[in-house]
Amino acid sequence: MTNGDLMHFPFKIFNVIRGLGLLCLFLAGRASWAADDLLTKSVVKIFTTMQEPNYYEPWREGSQEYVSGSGCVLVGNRILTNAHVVSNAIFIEVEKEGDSQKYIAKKEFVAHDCDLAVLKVEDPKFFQGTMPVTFGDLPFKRDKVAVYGFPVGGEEMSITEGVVSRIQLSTYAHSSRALMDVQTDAAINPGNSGGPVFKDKKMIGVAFQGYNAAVAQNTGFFVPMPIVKRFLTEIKSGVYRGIPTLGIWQETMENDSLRKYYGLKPDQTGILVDEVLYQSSAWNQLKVNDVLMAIDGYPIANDGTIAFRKGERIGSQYPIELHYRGDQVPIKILRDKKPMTVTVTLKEDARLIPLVQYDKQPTYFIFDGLIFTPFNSNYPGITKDTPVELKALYFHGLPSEDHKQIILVNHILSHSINRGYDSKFNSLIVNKVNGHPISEMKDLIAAFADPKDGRHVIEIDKPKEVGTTIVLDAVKSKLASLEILEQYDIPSDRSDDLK
Amino acid sequence: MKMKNGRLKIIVGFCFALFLSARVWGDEAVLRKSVVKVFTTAQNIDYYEPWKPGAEIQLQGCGTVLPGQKILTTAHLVNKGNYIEVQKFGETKRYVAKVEQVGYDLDLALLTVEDPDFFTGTKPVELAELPGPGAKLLIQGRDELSIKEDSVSNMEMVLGNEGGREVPALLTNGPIDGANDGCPVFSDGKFVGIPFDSAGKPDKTGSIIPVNVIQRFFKGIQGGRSYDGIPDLGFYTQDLENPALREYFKISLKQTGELITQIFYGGSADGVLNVGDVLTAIDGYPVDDEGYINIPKIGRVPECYLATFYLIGEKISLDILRDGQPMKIQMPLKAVSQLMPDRQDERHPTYFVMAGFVFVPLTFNYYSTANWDNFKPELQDLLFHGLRTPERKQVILISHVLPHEINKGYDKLTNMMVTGINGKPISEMKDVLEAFDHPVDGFDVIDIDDHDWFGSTIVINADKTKQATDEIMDTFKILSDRSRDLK
Repeated sequence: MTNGDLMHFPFKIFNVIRGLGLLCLFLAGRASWAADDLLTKSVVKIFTTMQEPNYYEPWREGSQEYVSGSGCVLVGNRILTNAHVVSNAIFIEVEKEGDSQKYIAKKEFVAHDCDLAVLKVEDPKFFQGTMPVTFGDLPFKRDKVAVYGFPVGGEEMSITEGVVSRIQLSTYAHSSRALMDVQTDAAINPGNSGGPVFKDKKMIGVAFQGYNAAVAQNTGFFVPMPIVKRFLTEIKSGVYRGIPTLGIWQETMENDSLRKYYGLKPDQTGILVDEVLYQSSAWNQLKVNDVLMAIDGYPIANDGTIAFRKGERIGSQYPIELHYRGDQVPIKILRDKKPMTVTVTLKEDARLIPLVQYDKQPTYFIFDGLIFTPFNSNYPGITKDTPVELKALYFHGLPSEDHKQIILVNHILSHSINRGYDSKFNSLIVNKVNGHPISEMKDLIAAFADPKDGRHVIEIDKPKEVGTTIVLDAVKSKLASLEILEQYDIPSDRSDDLK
Repeated sequence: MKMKNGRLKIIVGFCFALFLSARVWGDEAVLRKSVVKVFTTAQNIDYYEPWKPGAEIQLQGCGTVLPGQKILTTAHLVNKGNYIEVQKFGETKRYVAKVEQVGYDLDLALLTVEDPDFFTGTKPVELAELPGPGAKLLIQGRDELSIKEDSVSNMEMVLGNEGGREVPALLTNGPIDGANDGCPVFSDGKFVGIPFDSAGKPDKTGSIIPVNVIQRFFKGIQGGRSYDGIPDLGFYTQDLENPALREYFKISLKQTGELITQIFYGGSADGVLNVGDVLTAIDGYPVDDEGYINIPKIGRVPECYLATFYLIGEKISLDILRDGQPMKIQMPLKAVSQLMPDRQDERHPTYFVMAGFVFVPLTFNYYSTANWDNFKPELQDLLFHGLRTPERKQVILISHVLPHEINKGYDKLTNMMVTGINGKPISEMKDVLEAFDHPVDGFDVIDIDDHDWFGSTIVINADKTKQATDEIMDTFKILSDRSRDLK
């Protein structure tokens, strides 16, 4: 199963309308006991109008989409939901059970990495008759749980029940980050996203994703309380900065000879450091071929897991994910067969190709009709048509001083100044401009200000069948750039973050 | 009256049709004496377990009778063949045939038949001149009566499905069914080529290996010489259309040509041309700004077209501009030097099994039979764009691991690129064998380029590898730990 099979579950309203004809039959026998269930007073429905960014023509707005999801009421007149229910939102409304009026809501904090968001509602009347949830803890396997929300199937609140199936680190589809989640066999369907999961009347998580029915059935996932509480604690500081990572690539050490070779004694266990990412938490602290034996006090097994509760194991990244940026974490290592402890100050996730971005105008810079963009997970995206070179960087590219980002010739707006450089040059990686190495977008802008002998010379990263060099006439460049902006109706030659 | 008139028309029409078809049938009956059926019992190669003989398959196609009692057919029909038979059209007796020469890159093979009786009643074809655009073609199908008419569109370089490289092809105006059968194409009663299936050709056209390419194959085997393939110019070029680009590389507006942007290590141009040279003519034909040359009677073809017709070792004449100065160069041609080798002899794929790790070179053969999804994008990038370097003449993979206690923890690895063994860089298959002779402190250490999920280092106990390999060979019924070419 790949990430592509994981779906997160805001519910497109378009589908409701289409689905009604089929499903209204089953609604006639709706039970009325829901009114006596106090927990329903904690659950709200969320309606969002989204505007997707346009990564192909970043100066234009993308298409609009309407989705619905669920949420729960927090102490202090706030609503907790999934980040993906309100990502790229331009308009949000909330509605409570048994009240037909919709109230306007605004995003207060959004954590895309762990797919959580807190909303506020201007009108205090909305919270009349609602009840904030009380928080529970991480459940155990086979604990009975109930999922509340407004999924596909009807307009009214839905409650489904099941048990906890497993607890593990797995990929959050919204961010591609691997964090703790809890799997349940209680039905979690489109529209459940952001709704609470209860055990013994206490909230134990936020329903957020499931598998496409073609891949697996009865597998719904919720964000568990350790992650929810971490988020709510961090936003008390007034700003959400994100879940840190250690910034290494690691290898398990299940083979006896491998352990012996790196100096582990028969009773010692650990994992091997294969790569330390540039400017990550571990940068200049850990080294390739260090063996990590314990992290934050948890001994690491040869398969890369730690014991987080009696008899339960989870990936060794887990303790790091509960920390905040700037926290210091002790790591017991074996370096050149000598044990030592290093203290790592936690930083943000470091990677060459940024994870999918939301609520952000795409970065771009247009010069003589050449549209330059950093390669990120939004653009060009990974499809079967993505050049293999970019796919390789996407999955396994390492950032470095020379390449903090990958800058692409996204595509070219035709004009006489760029004649001869056509779509063959699309998606090629820029290595140098006018002799200056290009490591990130700002280098590009500085380099174009420094033409040599009346020419701009753009060097492509690796030899390609189409060529290696783009040369542009610097004398005509200014006029051409203006003509192109006018001709193609582009308001600005660069995104706001580059101004 | 009206009815009678109508019937008359039908009768006249019928006569006319009969007359036409009789005429065509007459020609075909003669042509059919030049075509024979080819039956092959082949064995698929299992690249995943190369020590195993693969499943048997039956193939059927056509051959063309050449002067000198030889039969020409396509390479892919016979190259895996353990047993080949030929049969004349309209007869039931089969004769045993043998492969004399194979050209994988041109997808051509020459067969001989031991029993000279076979050729009684056959008529060798006469080789045509290369037909021009619009020339009528008669395409013979696999069965006697399957004949189709078509016409020539143009000459193009297309990707051959066998060799994995571009070859000159005559495109037809319509598609050709059964293009892989090896049956001949005639024009005016003379032999003009063999259709083949190509991934690179435009939709709704057919592609034919034309007679001039077939003559090139004959040139390559003249005097009993063993066919050694078509050479490669060994460089990448860039179009010079933009005025600022031309000025930067000091090319006058009148001059046309292509910019040399990359020289392949070990290729024809290595040590002959420089990056930044401008190729202005090849074999005396001027190169235009899009990298094409114009040859009378053939038309506009890519600059690499002409090299196809040379033998490896022959010299091709190039006109270049170096630092703005015109120069004439005689460049000796060499075999293709890209990282992924062309399709090779399929009988005995190269492999080496060590402690359950199966080492294979990444070849076109291996890739074309393996599951695409198992190829990481890095490997695909090397396959399609990788160039040889002194440090990497081949890509060596661990194709998979045969599980045993010695390789515990590594047994799920597939298609991992090997970069070093016991501290020695791995550039080709023989380096793998040599490196295992020198363990480090009693360990064999294999460096692999994988950051997907496993890691980058494999360590195994060198003292136990021999015994473990023996046990693994016994368990998995492997007769030899290495292929013939590595013995």
